[in-house]
Amino acid sequence: MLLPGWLLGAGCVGAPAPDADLCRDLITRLCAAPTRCPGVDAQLSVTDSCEDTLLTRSGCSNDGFTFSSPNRAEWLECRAIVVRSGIGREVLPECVDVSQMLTQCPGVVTLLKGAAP
Amino acid sequence: MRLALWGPVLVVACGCARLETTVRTERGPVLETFNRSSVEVGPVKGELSVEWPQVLVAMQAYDSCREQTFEVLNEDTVTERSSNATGASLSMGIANVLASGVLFLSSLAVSAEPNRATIDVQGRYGPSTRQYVQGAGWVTIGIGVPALTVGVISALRSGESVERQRLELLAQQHEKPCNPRPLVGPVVLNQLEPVMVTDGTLELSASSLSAPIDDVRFFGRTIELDEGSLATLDALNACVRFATSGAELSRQDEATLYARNELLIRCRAVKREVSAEMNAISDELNARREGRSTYRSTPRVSSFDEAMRVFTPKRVFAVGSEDLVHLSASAAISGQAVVFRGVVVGELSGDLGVLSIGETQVFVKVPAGEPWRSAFVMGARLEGVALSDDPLTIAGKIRPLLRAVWLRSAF
Repeated sequence: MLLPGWLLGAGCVGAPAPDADLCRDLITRLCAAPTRCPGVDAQLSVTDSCEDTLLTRSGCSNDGFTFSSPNRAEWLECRAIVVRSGIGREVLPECVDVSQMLTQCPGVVTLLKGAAP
Repeated sequence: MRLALWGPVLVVACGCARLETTVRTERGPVLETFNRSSVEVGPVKGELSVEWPQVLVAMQAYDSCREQTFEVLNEDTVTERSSNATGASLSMGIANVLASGVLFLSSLAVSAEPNRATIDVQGRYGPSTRQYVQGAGWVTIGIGVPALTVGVISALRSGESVERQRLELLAQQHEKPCNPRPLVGPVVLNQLEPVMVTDGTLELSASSLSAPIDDVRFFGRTIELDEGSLATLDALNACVRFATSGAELSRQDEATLYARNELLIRCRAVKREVSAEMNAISDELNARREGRSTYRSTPRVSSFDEAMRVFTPKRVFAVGSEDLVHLSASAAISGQAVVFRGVVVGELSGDLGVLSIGETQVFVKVPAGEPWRSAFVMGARLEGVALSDDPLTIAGKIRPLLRAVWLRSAF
């Protein structure tokens, strides 16, 4: 009885996550300690306080944050590359996927560098 | 949309609920009895007596009186329909529907907050606890409703139906000949010309019988003879067989003589004066033992020419032959060797076949095992050497008999 219930539940989804949560989720994955991918440091110019820095630069620390450029759809496409290994927060992204995202998503890189789009 | 999805599911589920049908028949007590009488065409019986040479057949026609007793009762045909799945389906359906109700109700008491720990690739949170509980509720209701439907339909279709019909069963039947009356009408002996009987009695002279009586019919119905009459008929037929197979004793082999003696012993039951014939046979057998008989067994030959040389036929039976006039009175030439030429018109039945010599047909005896027997086929033109014998009566037809000693294809 529980297994079918879980399967049916897994088929369902919850409410859309706010843009701020989406943004923070990606930053958390990029800055995941202790094995942060080397491309993040180089391309996003961050140090040990990677997560705080990126949250500040992007403005995602503000609960009222909304995507403009890149928009939500573009952000989700780029995030999908990073979560190929799994959507659980405990799952660390593959550095190959991170590098690909940084290469293919200049809008995301620009936002995370704090530059105005 | 949901109805469109559930409809086929329910139909399939109900179709899987196989109903077992048992039909049994129950008969009730006897309600009443009644009798029914009928009269039908009955047997024709005869009594045969012989006051040699007078043969009397006294015949009576009967009706068949039938008395039948019928019992009337009701017969119920009970058809029982049941399904082994009814109980299990109902219990599973009720349990699952109840469980789904509990799940839906309890879902109201749990958190509707989405699982914020997870965001999928579409950017949505994970389902809430309420969604999980309600999902389980949908699953249980998805199982419970079809099971309940199957159970309810099976229960509705189960049950028994009774079809009653009134039966009339034959309980007893008595049938016996009745209304005896002297037989009046044509009686047919051995499928020959009918003899008109006016007072139920058929009178014959034993000497007029050319063949044993093996069939007596009245309008196609066999006239039944009682046991005593059958014994008398057997004796009479023995006398007839003896009389119609007569030949010179000196030309008959020992087996034939003993067989003819047996016929006389049976014949004696209806004809007292057979001692002369029995003595003659006994004398002939004694003469053979003492070497005084003129009997000679037929010598064996190995060719047509040898047969001509050994038997030296005195007459020729062929189309245009002057001797042919003697053939119709062959008893006078019985025992003589003859040459014959003719066409086979009747295939061999046992040892006997039929040969046509011009307008005259003769029986030809062709012994089994002879190498020239194969020449005797329908339409074959044959010539042969034979010993003439007394005429033979078969199926009411009297024809000369020739015992072939050799034959071959010719002309």
